[in-house]
Amino acid sequence: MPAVVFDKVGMAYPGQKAGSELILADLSVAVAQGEFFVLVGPSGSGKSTLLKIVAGTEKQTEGRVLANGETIAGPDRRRGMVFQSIEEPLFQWLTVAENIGFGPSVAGKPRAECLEMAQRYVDLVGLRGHEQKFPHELSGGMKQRVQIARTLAAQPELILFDEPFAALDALTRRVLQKELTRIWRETGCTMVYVTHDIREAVLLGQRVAVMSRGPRANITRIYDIDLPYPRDDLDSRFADAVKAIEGDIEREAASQWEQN
Amino acid sequence: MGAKLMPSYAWSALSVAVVVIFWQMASTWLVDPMFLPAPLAVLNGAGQMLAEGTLTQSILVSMMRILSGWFLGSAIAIPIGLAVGVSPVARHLVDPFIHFFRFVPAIALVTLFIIWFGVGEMSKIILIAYATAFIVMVNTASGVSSISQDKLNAARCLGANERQVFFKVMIPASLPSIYVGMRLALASSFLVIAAAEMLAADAGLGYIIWTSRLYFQVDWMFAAIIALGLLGFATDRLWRLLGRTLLKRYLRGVTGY
Repeated sequence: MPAVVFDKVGMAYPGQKAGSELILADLSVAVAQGEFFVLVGPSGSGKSTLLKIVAGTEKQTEGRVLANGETIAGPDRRRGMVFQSIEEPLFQWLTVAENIGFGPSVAGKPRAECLEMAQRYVDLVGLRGHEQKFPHELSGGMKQRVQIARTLAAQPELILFDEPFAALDALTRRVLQKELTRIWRETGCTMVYVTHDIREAVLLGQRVAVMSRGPRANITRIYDIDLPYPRDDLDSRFADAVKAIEGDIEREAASQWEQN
Repeated sequence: MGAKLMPSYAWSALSVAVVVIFWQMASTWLVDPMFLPAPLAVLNGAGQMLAEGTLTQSILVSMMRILSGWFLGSAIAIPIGLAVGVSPVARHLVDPFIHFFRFVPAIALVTLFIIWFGVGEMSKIILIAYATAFIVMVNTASGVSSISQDKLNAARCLGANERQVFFKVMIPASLPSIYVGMRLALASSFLVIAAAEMLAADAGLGYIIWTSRLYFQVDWMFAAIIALGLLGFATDRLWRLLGRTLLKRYLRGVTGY
């Protein structure tokens, strides 16, 4: 059974007439269990909306979305989310360890066990020594590590990433991209990752789906990136994949210009 | 630059000293001390009232009224503010009253409250509760409604149910606004108590200020006014101390002023 199935999904925001100004229309795709699936596309293509639907914080207006064969009723710890915003998602009154232990604590686990689990994920994301710090004492990259660890500590089956490294500097981004593929292989979670950075998409994804610009955005093409991890962006096959996807997106953008 | 010259509190002490010296000179050479008693005369008046026990008693009475009203008002306002911030329906229900009573100052209600609640403690405490409640309510509500959706959704995606989102995220995240609201309300409580005690009271700092006029004891007036200011200053400092210690982890980002 696939981890996520989108079946003819359409999305209109409230206030819009159904069918007329859909931001997503007739989108169908399935994400396999344990897959690293990347969605890449221009801004305004509804990538984030797609993630919010899977997270359960928004509901599609047309079609069906299934997670592990079940319709999505609302947010659930089985589907974690790592947000683009660096500051807002963290709980600034909790320490790093308490932030990471939030999932276990709302699941009713005793405090000692929460902190023990937190420690495991502190180690996994390389934050040892920073457990007792508060978010404001951390750099942007470390805050995103906390978000990732906190999401993992809630024991999800699937993790949604909404351009999590877009606001970081290039160097930090590279380090975190590498670590994310390691974390993915260590945990076996299904990953659905949204980005507008094509290089990042090819670096991370087993499959990269290219989205068209909205309204009525859809997936135009899915690329299989059959390269071993950790990936080397100097590899000629890496460059070929990036070039192919870039060409796709440029054509998409060009067709948009002609329409206007 | 000047900070190197001497510690910051020394500058404040210096400015107070200069003002007191000017005051002393003014009442000696410029103004009739009947109208502007010299600092030493005020100190003397305060000493008299302290010896009689009136000053201490008035301070205690005024403080009790302020603190009771302030706590009562906050206790009513915080839950309503939270509800208003969380639920649009609650917001629409409460909004007209907030926007109406905002323009009705507590002082305008003094006589009405005396008719309703008598000249005793009750009318003053309720008056201060009234003045406190609106400030705290508006601050609490705006604190809750300005919590980022990402923060709330992050909690939900980590498995928190709506009750947990409320208690574990919304309340701690809005504590800075509640804290600031209560601090502002404390200042307006001092404003209100002075007015209320002038109209109907048999004790309190406002009462001293008002009755000193009958005996033309301007020095008593000054003593009570200064006591009011010092009390306000001290309570505000205590509130800030509480913020910097017990509530420290919640109040990061709340500025000193």
